[in-house]
Amino acid sequence: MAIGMTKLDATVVEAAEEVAAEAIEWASDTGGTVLDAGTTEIFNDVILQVSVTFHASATGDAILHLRTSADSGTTEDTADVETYAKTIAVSAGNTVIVSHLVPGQFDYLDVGMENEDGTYVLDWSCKYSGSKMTGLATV
Amino acid sequence: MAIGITKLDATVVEAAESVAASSIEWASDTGGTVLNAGTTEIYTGVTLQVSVAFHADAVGDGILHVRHSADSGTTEDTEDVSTYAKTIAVVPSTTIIVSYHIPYMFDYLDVGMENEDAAEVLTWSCKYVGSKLTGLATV
Repeated sequence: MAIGMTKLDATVVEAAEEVAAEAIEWASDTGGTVLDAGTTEIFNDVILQVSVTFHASATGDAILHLRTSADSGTTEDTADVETYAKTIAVSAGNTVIVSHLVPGQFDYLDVGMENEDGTYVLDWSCKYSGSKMTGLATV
Repeated sequence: MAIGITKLDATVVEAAESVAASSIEWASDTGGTVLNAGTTEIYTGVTLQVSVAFHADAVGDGILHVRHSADSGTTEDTEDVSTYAKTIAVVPSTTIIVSYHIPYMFDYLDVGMENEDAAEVLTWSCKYVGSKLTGLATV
């Protein structure tokens, strides 16, 4: 099979999820879709775009987390241990949209959102653009 | 369709735009052209070259901003939240030219110039060199 490249655009990781106060919600939990390349594929230079909507009375930031897996999701990194990616400073009552580059090639990526507010739920969504190489040989 | 590479040279993002005092002007505003790859394309190895002309009485710097979109521009990152790229230190009455490299593949890039001067307009332009991969598959 020839090596190819597939363009990925507006691919949804989380459509619209709530994160409870002082909790982390992952794409691998109910409702999301992790980035999990097929057997002969690998992702390449993906840019995540995350949208976070803060409660009007929120005072806690949102934290973007990323974790990988060396076995396509069977064993994921431990949540909140070296999974920090970016802080999205609280902007009460507003929706903030930020991008985060995942440089290079990878096989698996789980995306999480932590709500640092002690009282209020936040809403988030995530999609990405990028590419994946296809038609790779396997061993 | 075979994968190809297209060379891009002296491609204009902004020809000559004014930025009002204490504001940001984006390529996606009137007069500019964002970098927005076609359905089967993706940019790679792009270097922006920005020219900033400061007023004779200017005391505020120019700030280069870049922002992405995971859906070809429908949803852009929130202005001034994680969009900072580079500071161009003020030199009154002088045109300063700097380059900024985007070291990864991307589908969409909007370029903005912030004028930190509280009183005087600045003038900027931007072009780029790089390449894009073409003939990618889509899903």
